[in-house]
Amino acid sequence: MEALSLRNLNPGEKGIVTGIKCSGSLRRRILDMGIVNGVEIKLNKTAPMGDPLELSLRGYKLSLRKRDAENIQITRV
Amino acid sequence: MSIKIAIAGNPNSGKTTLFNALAKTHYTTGNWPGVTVEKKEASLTYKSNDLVLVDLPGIYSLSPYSLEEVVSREYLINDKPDFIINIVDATNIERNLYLTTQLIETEIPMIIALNMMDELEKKALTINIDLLSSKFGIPVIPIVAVKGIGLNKLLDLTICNIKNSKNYKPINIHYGEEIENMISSLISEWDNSKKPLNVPSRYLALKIIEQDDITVSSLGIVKNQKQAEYYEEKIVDRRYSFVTDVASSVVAVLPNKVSKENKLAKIDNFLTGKFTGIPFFAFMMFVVFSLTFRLGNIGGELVDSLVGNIADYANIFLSNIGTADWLTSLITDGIIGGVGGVIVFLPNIMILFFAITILEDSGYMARVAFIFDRLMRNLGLSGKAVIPMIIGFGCSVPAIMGTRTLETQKDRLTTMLVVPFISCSARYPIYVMLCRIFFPGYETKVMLFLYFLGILISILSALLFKKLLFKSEEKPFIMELPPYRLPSFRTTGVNVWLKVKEYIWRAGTIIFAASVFIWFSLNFGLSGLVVSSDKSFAAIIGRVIAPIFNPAGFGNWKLAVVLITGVLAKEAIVSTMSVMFGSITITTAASYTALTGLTSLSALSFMVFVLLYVPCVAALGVIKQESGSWKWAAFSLFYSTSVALIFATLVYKVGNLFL
Repeated sequence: MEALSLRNLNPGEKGIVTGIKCSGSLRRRILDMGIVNGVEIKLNKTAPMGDPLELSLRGYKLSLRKRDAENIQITRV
Repeated sequence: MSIKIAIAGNPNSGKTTLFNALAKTHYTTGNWPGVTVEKKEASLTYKSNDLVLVDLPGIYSLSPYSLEEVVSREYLINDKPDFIINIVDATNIERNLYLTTQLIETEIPMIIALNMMDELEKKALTINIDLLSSKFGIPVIPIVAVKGIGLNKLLDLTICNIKNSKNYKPINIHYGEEIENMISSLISEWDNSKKPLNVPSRYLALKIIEQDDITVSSLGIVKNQKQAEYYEEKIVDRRYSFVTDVASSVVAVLPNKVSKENKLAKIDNFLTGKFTGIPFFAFMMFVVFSLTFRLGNIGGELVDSLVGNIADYANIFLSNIGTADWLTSLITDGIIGGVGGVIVFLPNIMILFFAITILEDSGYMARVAFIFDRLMRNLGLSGKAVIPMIIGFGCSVPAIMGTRTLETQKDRLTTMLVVPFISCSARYPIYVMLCRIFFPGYETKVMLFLYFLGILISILSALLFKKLLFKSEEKPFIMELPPYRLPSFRTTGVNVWLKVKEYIWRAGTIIFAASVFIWFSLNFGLSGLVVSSDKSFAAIIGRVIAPIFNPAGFGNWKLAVVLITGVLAKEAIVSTMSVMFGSITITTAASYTALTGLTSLSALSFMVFVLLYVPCVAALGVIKQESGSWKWAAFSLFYSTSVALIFATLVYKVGNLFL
């Protein structure tokens, strides 16, 4: 188990959320979208120009910029 | 007394479709008080019950992250509707039911409309409705809003539950020992003294514990960020773990069924692929515009000949019954010529809006935002800003309203100020008319130049605003990518019909009035009815303004008048020119030059000016409404007109060097 951020995943890889580093309303939105500790997130792919990311979690797809994804800590599975 | 029913749900859950199906387009739209979030309301009578449906904005949560969430929450908590229909996307129940857990806490009786049951089946899944209902203690009814399946049952059950609202006993989410103790002690405290706010107790207790911004500021409590985050995370976590448990027990895989997910994934890989995403977008735009202009023109020619026939018959009829010449001229040249000149473009506009609606409803627009986010960031904008810009090719007004989906005020302002440079469909008729006369055989090339110039100027302007006006930090970009869906024929049809209705309405009102007004100002002067328009009121006003346009090569009073009417509506440029210079179909370049003073070169600089100058009155009004101040509408007016003058002059001067 190595600790990293969501940004470090490669397309096709999955991780389990272990913590959220940012604060304020961004943090609240991330939580509201279902990114809470223990949830499994898959990095599907990056957009054609390398950013943002497309993620799969809880049966739906979410897009997040790499910069924002850095705030989400995960362990690779 | 009518019963107030709020429809609440996530974005992309089919909420608008459900609302439209229940309201049958008999609804009124406006804004929620004080904010620019669309408010839709419909009154209907169902089995002798008077109902008022209120369509709340699509939201993910009741936390105050976006305006939509604040509005929905205020409405539910302060206006207290009698009932909530919570629409839940059956294919995505975890995140959808997360909102449900919060709606429960408003203590308003509720029913869950489980939508998209057909799609669920295509995913080879099934949901145990009774189990879901008992887990939440809330009635659940499966529906397919697009196909109208289950809607009568939904209304029956809604009315039945409103009448038996005493029996509404939903579960409470258990937030764990620590938080539950805090809730009980707060509530028992309020039993003795007065509750500080007149809102449901458990809801208020939770908001105080998580130190929700709106609640703590209205109670004058100082927020402890660390503590707030600790409890906030616990509360969200508890809600999601409840929902996850429910979902895992009610959803089952259908045996003997093959999911279509893989096929969709392949399509998605193509649409957003590294090497295919951008070329496909370009191809898509090419198809949309080819259809709009090629196919639309065929329809346009039909309408054109129809309008011509009507004018001819009217002419004959009016002179047969002995109408005065001036009145005949007013009706045929002024009204039929002016309004007809605009109606001709109805087929183009229908096709364009049809295409835009399909791109939006299919889920492709969200992918466009995804693909272009990286590029838009260089302009200081989010990828979502691409959507209003594409809609801007149709009409700036809905495009400016579309900026509501953007997160920050800075993004909204930048986008609404650059959108008017995108050549809207009302400007297209002017290009067609002048290109046919002055650039026969090169129409497409000239029009492409104009469209790309518009895009270029909007990009440069966004860069300029980023550097000078709105310096701020990069904001987060969190966007759901909704599943691809086949757009429903009905929703698309309704949307296109609304746009067509509006266009015809504008033709019948603004354009009609402008045509009559122009006809009068051309035919009357200080001495009454004038023989030559040279002495008319229009000429007097036009001559004052015309010198401004000298450097750009079209400084004559007639064109100045044309440009003034264009501010009312850009279509009015064509109608005014038809009223002034007669029908275009019989005109050659030389004779048109004699009439208007335009040469090929000044026709080009004129079109560049028309492309870039003042947004029309409607667009300015929407800029005021959406930005919340006349200041930005005035800025837009001044900025775009300056840009237009500079570029029109540039085109004219540079052109002169080569000719």
